[in-house]
Amino acid sequence: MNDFTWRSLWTKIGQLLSLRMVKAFSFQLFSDISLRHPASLSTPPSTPKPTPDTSPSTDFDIVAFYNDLISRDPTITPPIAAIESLTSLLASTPLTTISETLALLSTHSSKLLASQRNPIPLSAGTELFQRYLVSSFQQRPSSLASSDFTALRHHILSNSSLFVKRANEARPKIAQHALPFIKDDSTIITYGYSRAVQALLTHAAESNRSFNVIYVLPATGLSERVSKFIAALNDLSIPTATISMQALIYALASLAPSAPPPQFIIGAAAVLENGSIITELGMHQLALIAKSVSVPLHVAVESYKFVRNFPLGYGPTDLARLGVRQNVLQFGTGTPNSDPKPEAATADEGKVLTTEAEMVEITPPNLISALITENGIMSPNAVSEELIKLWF
Amino acid sequence: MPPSDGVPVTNGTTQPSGDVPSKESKKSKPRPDGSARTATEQDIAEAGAGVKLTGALLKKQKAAEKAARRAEKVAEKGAHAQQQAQTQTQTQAGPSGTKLETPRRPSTTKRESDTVPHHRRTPSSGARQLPIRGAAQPQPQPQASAPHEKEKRHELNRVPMFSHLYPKEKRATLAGAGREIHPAVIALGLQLRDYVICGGNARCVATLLAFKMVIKTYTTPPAVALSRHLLTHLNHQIAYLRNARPLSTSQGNSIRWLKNLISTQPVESTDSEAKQSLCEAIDLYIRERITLADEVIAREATERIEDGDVVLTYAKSSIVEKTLINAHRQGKKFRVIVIDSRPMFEGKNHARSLIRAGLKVQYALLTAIADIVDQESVTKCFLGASAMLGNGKLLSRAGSAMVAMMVKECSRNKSRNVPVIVLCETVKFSAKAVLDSIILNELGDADALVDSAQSGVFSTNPSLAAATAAPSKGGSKKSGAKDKDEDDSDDKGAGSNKGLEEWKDQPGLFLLNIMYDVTPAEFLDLVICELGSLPPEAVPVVNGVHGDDQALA
Repeated sequence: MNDFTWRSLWTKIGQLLSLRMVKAFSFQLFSDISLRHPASLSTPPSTPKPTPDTSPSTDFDIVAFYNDLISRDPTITPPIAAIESLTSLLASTPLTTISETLALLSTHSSKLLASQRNPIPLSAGTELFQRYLVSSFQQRPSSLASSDFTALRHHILSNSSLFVKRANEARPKIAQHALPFIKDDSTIITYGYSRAVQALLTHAAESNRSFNVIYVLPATGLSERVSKFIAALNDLSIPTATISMQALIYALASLAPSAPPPQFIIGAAAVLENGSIITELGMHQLALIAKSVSVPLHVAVESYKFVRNFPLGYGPTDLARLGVRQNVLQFGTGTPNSDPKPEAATADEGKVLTTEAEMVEITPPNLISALITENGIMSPNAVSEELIKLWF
Repeated sequence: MPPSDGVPVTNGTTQPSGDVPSKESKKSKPRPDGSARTATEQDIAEAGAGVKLTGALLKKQKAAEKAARRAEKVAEKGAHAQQQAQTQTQTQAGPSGTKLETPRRPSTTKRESDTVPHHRRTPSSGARQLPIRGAAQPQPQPQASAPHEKEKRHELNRVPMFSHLYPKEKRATLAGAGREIHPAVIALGLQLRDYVICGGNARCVATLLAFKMVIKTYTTPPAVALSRHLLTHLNHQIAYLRNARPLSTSQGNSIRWLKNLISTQPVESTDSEAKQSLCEAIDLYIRERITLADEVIAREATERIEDGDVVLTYAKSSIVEKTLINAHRQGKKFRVIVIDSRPMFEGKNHARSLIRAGLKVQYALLTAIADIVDQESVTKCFLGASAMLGNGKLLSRAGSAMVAMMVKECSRNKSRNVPVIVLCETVKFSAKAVLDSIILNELGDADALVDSAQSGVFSTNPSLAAATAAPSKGGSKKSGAKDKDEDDSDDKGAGSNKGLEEWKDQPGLFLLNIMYDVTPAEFLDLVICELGSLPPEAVPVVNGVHGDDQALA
């Protein structure tokens, strides 16, 4: 899809056809329609069509800025880092028109996305920010309606930092919402590393709940982040056990039957429109086990991780639609240790996820009991509702 | 046509069509004088009183009108039943076709051309005249005893469970059209009745275009506000259309929108201004809610088609056709299986236009769906919609539920996820929540099931039966869809060499041609509308976004 033109065209057409319905149209579809129906949707004669080429040049290196942000602050999530990068991009580039701003944002967003091997979490942030900008253009306070662009730009910049601030407040809110779920003496099973889950468990421990944590480890073993997390939990005197995926069902059966029922609380890199979650490899399997032994699976996730993309399944085609390519199946006849280097290690090596540690997976919504977000507890079905509210 | 028919027919047709050019002048003229006087006077009174009415009051008034109309229908029905009881006592000449036909003709035309307009006009313009109408009711009835014999028979052959779906009054006819019905609406009504214009979008667009014509030729009577009087005028047209064929959800939604728009026309604007703005709004509505929406949906849906896909579709949907052709034009390599069924065979048209576009198409009947889903590795299923209901269910051509279920259930056993994708414009979204296919449905002409080409299959002549069954492989299969009915007919018709042709005279034989069915949300994966891709459960949210929540009423 032509990622550049549609966003910039959007405002223009939105102004043109002031009907609410038209605003509700999915943007990306507009560019083409307006081209195909020159008679029905006449473009204003004065404004030229913005193309990616007209994007103003800047020496701001968004990729470097983003990487720097991620490495500097371990608690920052990719969507927020992306939004912050875009904000500082806006701040550092003096622009004079709205369409320039949007063109700049879209080119740099796609640049940023292209630099990542797993752009799904990022795309949630960049799309949300661009959507946010458009709506703040449309719903700007009347005092700014007639003023020049610099005032508007200032307003947007201050709003953007507010936006980031609000997003950062999401995790404490999630922790608050999740507190009633955590019963004394219950067992919480978690998998993978998630800042939201860490915040949640820490908050629960600080609220003097006593509970046990079972940490399911992936085949790749204990990562540094996870071991730090476990150490932090132990400091809060939360008993933790680490088990491998193979031991999960036996571990569940070994829990004291008199204790409050166990539950899974996990994080997610992104939530898709039908309520599927994107997580590291192994989560789908875990969710299936949870479902089959009737243990609830709760996903602690910030609502800025909602992505407007509807997968039809959980296979590679669905991931490819999201811009992730990975190959789990590598058939070979050599010994298992011979490490078959696939042909993928050629041209676009950078875009294919190769190690299992960084591979992702879609877990379908029917396996998820509830999403715990800062806006409250919702069923997976409610994600599309939230997204529609956010976008239209 | 018997000569007795000539007068009312020409009366009915020439009069409205004759004044097409001079519609504006004529339209306003007959209204104040003649029989329409009471109606207009009332309109004026109503409008005069209603100028200061608030929206809520207006709504209340409308509701009262509706209730009155319903009450009137009930009364009519009661009279009808009475009538039947009368006719039953009267010994009637046997069902010898011609004898029955000739007396029926004049009486029906009389009923329709004389009394119906009279009735027609009163119910919608002034619901308060209910008692008078009730009294007037029995007058024409005694003469019409002959057709009632037939009608009673017909009623006996109705499927009791669907009795609420049978038309309460005579289907709209050319002669039955009242004087106030615009020729464009008459034409549209007939086209709708005969399924010439078929399909949610086509019906919606045609209706709006016809109403545009109505608005263009409309002049407000003196001392009335356009926003008041045009509505009542339009109500006559709507009633005629509804009589021709029950309104679809898309029609209902757009009519509601149009009425709302008319009622909010500023009172101070002149006729021509208001008419101009209404016409423009209609054009815009058609473009945005249907033309552009289709464009957007087709594009979004096209992205879902990948190389190597085997796409299953059922019957015909303009938007599915557009999507498939669109994907083909983009050079995607995929195969299409069109599933079709009796009695409309809409899939034939669909398959034909797909083939014309150069697609690879396989055509099969609904009865073969199990094999198709099993043998051909179907990867996606696209369905059109008549309506998306508030609880995420799909109302679509009868058989869609079966297709969706088979696709989902068969794929479940094969570790293959076959998504069922619904393509539906938001104009077809409804806030109604329906649990089954019985409440909200439409009955087609039961005679459509009595296919004359099929009669050989039911005949006792084995050679003939074999001959017809063999070449049209579907023949026996098709009949399987209606096992019960045809078993009946086989038993009874065997001796007398009768097929289903005279089913109305066969006691205990019911023919049911149901038009729609409801697909549960669990068999649907994705609804693509112009807002994007949604899970079926999100339909009520979209209703909220669009403010179509009034559909609840």
